[in-house]
Amino acid sequence: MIFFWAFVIGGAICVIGQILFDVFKLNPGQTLTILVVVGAILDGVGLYEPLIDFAGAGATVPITSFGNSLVHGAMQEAEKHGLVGVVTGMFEVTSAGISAAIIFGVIGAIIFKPKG
Amino acid sequence: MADKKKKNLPPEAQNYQAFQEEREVKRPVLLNCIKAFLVGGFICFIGQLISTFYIYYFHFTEQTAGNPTTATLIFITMLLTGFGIYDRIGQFAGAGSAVPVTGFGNAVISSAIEYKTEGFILGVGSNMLKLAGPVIVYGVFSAFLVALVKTLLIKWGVI
Amino acid sequence: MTIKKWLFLIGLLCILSSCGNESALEPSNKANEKLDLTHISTKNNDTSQHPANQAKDALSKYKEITEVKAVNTTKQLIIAVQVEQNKRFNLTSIRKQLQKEMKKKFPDHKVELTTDKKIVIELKKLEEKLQSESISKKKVEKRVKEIIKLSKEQT
Repeated sequence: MIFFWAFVIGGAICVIGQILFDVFKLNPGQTLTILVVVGAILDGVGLYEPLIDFAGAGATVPITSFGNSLVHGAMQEAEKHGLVGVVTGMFEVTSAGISAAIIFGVIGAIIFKPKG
Repeated sequence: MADKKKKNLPPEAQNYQAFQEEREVKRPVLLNCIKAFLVGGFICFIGQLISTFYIYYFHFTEQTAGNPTTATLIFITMLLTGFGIYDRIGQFAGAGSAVPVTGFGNAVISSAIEYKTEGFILGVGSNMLKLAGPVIVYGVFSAFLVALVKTLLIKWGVI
Repeated sequence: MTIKKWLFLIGLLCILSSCGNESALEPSNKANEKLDLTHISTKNNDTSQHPANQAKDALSKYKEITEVKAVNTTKQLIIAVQVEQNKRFNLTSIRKQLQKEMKKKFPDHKVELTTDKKIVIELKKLEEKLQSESISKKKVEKRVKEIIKLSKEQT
């Protein structure tokens, strides 16, 4: 059942991105930035975690979850260390996406040939 | 906002803007949205499969399975990007391939591969995070603002 | 114009954030048919699962719960539940409500309640071992400790 909702919610978030592309005529960089910020705000108001509970990967795979994890990391650290934690704690929970992208980027550059 | 700019232009320029809008290729918004929905949903479905696989066969809980799932998806993206398949998917699906974390991975990896000709330090190293840059910068900054506001509200007893 | 837009957005956010998790679980008297409620009975008194079986019975009155697994030692009780898909939106408040209820019901045990699928799987394996009497009290305690630690992992 969660597979169905992962498909639907993930697809819905991508449709929002597509609307930002086609109707608001934004480029991918702007769209992804807006989506990450929206993810951070939704976690701030406590709406993103229930979405993850409901849709599983449908909410953790889109780029919006990156904003959500950053807020989580900051809040966790702020609970322990006060206001300073907001600055220091952000990447505690979130390193998978960025590290993986960089590591596989370098590996990709080593093994694959450029097309252009 | 674009309309305000248009109103400030002299009449010939406004005529040209109208002329250009008529000739501009109309984007089939509904069709694009359907394609984005299907491909984006499918990528998230695969993500759920990988996540469930890690929960059942490895020592990961629902909480901790997100990280290996992301790493696996980006690994798959590396293969698809290296063989040129991800670009074809991107042409078909638009946001359906750009919004999931695989799109982020593709942006980083394809830049890394393309700039290999300029060397590893100046080419790959400098250009890898061209698209990822704003995402990380504004992601971190907005998370900082959100967490700051929330922490202050909790401190002052409002929440 | 832009100030009005910002005020509208902030107002919208405040409304959204108050859209909290209201709907809690409601107990019903009907038997929950989907639930697999096998009581674990062990001949060895040391590994008696009486509190765990009681916990399962107490939780079976909620029809939204689709799976419940529980194992106890003399001092600890770990319970794992699965909630039906439509209620998963309120998972955090359901978990808190059930934790409170179980902690009140078993004051002399350290009660841990989780909604994680992995813990359900691990407890199922442990229950089978208990049922087939192939595990000693010490091993049960060790396993329960490990499972509780697993349920608390954050990353």
